[in-house]
Amino acid sequence: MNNAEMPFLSAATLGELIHKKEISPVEATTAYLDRITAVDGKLHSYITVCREEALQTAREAEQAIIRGDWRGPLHGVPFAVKDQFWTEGLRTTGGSRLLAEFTPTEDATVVARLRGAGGTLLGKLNMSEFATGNSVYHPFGTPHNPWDLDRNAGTSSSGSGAATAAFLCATSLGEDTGGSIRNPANNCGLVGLRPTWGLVSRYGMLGACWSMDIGGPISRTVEDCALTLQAIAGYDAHDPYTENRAVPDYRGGLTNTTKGLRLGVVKEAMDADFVHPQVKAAVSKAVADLNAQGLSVEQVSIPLLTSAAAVTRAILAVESASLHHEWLRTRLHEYDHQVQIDFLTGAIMPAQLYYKAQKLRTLIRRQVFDVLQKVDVLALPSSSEPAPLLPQGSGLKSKDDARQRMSGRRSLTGVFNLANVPALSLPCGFMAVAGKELPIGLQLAGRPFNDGLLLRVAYAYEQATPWHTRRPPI
Amino acid sequence: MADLSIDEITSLARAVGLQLPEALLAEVGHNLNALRELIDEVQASGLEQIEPLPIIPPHERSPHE
Repeated sequence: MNNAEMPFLSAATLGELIHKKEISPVEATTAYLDRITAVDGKLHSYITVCREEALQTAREAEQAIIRGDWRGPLHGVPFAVKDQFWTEGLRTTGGSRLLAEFTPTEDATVVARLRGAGGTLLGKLNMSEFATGNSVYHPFGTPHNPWDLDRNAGTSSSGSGAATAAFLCATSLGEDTGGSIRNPANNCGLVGLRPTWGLVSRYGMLGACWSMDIGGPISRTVEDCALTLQAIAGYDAHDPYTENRAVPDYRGGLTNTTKGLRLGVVKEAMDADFVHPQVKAAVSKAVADLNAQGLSVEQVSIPLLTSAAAVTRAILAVESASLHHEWLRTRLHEYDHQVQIDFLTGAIMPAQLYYKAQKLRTLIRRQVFDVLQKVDVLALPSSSEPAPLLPQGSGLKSKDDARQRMSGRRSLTGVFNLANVPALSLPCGFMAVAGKELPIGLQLAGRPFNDGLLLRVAYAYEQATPWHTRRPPI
Repeated sequence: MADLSIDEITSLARAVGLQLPEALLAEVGHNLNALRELIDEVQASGLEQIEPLPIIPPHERSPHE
């Protein structure tokens, strides 16, 4: 195989060819590094590329294969992670000037596990500053969407979305506090899973909001997503909130068997006036396709869904501001303008407002759990629209302007962060906007620790549709 | 719910040991007033009886759960 074609393989296929010794880990890593060099100047998806370390890891992976020491399906497969995860000896910026010189002395648990699975770390991916999702200024270059360079790759795991969609890594990790995995997956036409809170360790991950943060895969296919989750999931003594339970075989669970499952279409999302009609049409068609595959379909209601964005924002603002309180006093001017506004708002928020938000979170969680007693999987749009244009400038002009930013599409994802249940986005169609074809995302959500069921339903849908086979024009 | 004034925003900041730059006061005010309004608007029956979500680490849970 021509080296230039290797990056276009799925992670699963590449791993199989490496296992069969038809491709060497060094060839695969070199192919990705060459493509990063050729393409990433347009995308700014990477903050740091660790070329020499990656090649060294690949050489070691190659020797291990020769010795017969095969570590599994990700052995020799090049991956990249959001620059929110610690990497030993490699700077971890959080997308911020404040951490431009921060070099951890150990790996985040998820990074260590991917390395342990035989993967080769290519580098660290761009992101919104400290994963807030609102920053406009990116000190390491503004990430662009490979489907249309004028558009947003999604926040806050922007680089994970852009790099994975542009074939600059075989699979990647993002982090999702209010939708930061699913939004890049929506905007870039990828499969992004926010795992159940407690399934994946947060150790070594720069925090945004402790009670909602979690890392997860952003991949090009459901199978790649399952393989990546397999590597990172499971108990970690360093994170007291990880559950000590057996991790299922996510890849082995990928079958087209969906007959008998119950799918609930979330009324408030499909009725929302902020969701584009073509997005609703694409999601409705996807639901009909799933129905044809044997899932029963009914409408369900989460009455507080459209308030989820504001509730998420109130909790996130307070929790993130508490993490940054000292720097807000001493290094405020080094943050992005919008991040300054958001963190300062959280720092001075009256306690009763935060407490009401926490009560509303409990109610929202109950409503999500109530509908998940009736159905196995929820379906709704991942976002209100395809990738929007990159923001031009920051600043809040009025209270109404601020209200707009705390409403709308963020409710579609935030509702599941508040409930701490797993949620996944995968492409379900394309929409022509200003002469460009942009992906649309279908979101699926389920009960805690039913991540495998979401992957199974997503896989069945993916196998019956062509969306994952399209390539961005870059 | 009446909006907080710039003076009130400044006082809230002072209460937590922060001095807000004058250039940011209006925008922080817009942001906080918007959030207060949005959360205040949410009417949910029985909210006063709700106890916020407790998150108990797995190792502190009863073995009978």
